[in-house]
Amino acid sequence: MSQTVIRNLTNPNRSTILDVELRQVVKVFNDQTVVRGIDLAIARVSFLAFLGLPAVAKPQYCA
Amino acid sequence: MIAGFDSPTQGEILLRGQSVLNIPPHQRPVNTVFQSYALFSHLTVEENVGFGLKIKKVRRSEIQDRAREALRLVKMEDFAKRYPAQLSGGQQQRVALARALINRPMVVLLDEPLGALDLKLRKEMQFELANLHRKLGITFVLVTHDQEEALSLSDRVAVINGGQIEQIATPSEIYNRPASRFVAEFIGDTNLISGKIEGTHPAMLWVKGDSGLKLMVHPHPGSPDSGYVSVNVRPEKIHLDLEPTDQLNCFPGILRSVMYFGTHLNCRVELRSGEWLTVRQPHGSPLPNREHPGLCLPGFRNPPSRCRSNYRHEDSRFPIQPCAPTVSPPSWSRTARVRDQRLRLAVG
Repeated sequence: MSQTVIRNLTNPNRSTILDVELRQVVKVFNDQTVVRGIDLAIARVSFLAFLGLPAVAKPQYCA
Repeated sequence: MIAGFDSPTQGEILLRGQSVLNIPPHQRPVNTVFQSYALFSHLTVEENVGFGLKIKKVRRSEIQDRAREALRLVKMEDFAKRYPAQLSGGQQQRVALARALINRPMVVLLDEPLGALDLKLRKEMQFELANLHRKLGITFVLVTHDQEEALSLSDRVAVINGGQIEQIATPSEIYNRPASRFVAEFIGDTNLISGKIEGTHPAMLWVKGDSGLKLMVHPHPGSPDSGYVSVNVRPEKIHLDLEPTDQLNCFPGILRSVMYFGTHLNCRVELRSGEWLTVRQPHGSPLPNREHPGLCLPGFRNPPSRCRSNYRHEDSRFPIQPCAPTVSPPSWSRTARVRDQRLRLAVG
């Protein structure tokens, strides 16, 4: 299994392993584009919050 | 899409470097806690928590041990034999959390997990979640519309707008350096003053507001130095003075209303130039006379965070350096940049 490793910009000697990566993710739902090409990397043991107004299809990212 | 209950129309999702698009939800190392808890009402707390392991045909004694351990993590070990209907909302949420943690997944997804709880319980669960994250070393992904929850729990916040990430940064960066007007307005209270950049000064910009207000602002790295912008001034960065002054970034105005919030006061000030501003004053600070609001002339200053470290304590009411509202860098998502062409300035 290949592991994606990115350099930690603040500390180049420390690398970060990514648990989750979204690459150019698009979601069309009932002819409506609710996710428009998202790129996202979530590092291991981090705590990321998706924050948005109600009804902006936030749960789509998780589900 | 991360959990696998839904799949993207386009694009790729990877878990630890491996594409998971063809892997069904139950085989992904991801567990979800839903807002509705989704507990099985005919099973006891213990059976609910151990359900995933039972499906995986783990030995019964091991299931029991691990379920007890998971319940201990969420402080629910005394409720193991109860049914969900015999629990309060907060307790049910803890059980749902224990069920998501029992097999130590790689990622825990929290879909508005505290949405159904009352304010006090929500605060308590926020502490619990932060503790669990620290203790377990599992990646947590939270989905929420509650900005306070997002800022206080996470180490990074992705602000979603129009199907795109408007800004992704640490909570303090999101608050202090919003990348666009949307982020500035969405996170916390703020005062936005639209205007045009009139001139540059070493490390400073002059912005002339629509109403004629002239502000000196500190640009964020990478922010524009010409054009139409919005200056974002947080209410707690404004200082009310009893006497009018002609210092930089001080303006005469009238205190129109004061609301008491226990720890602070929220004041509404109408500037002579016409803008209405919200100002947060520490509780107990001297205020202009409310009985004769037309007679008082509060000025406002917005000391920048960068200058603040230069203050001596005794000078704290009178900043040595005049205000430096800051200009945020252009929003990194291209469409957002086009949409918010007018609004790329933010005051620190």
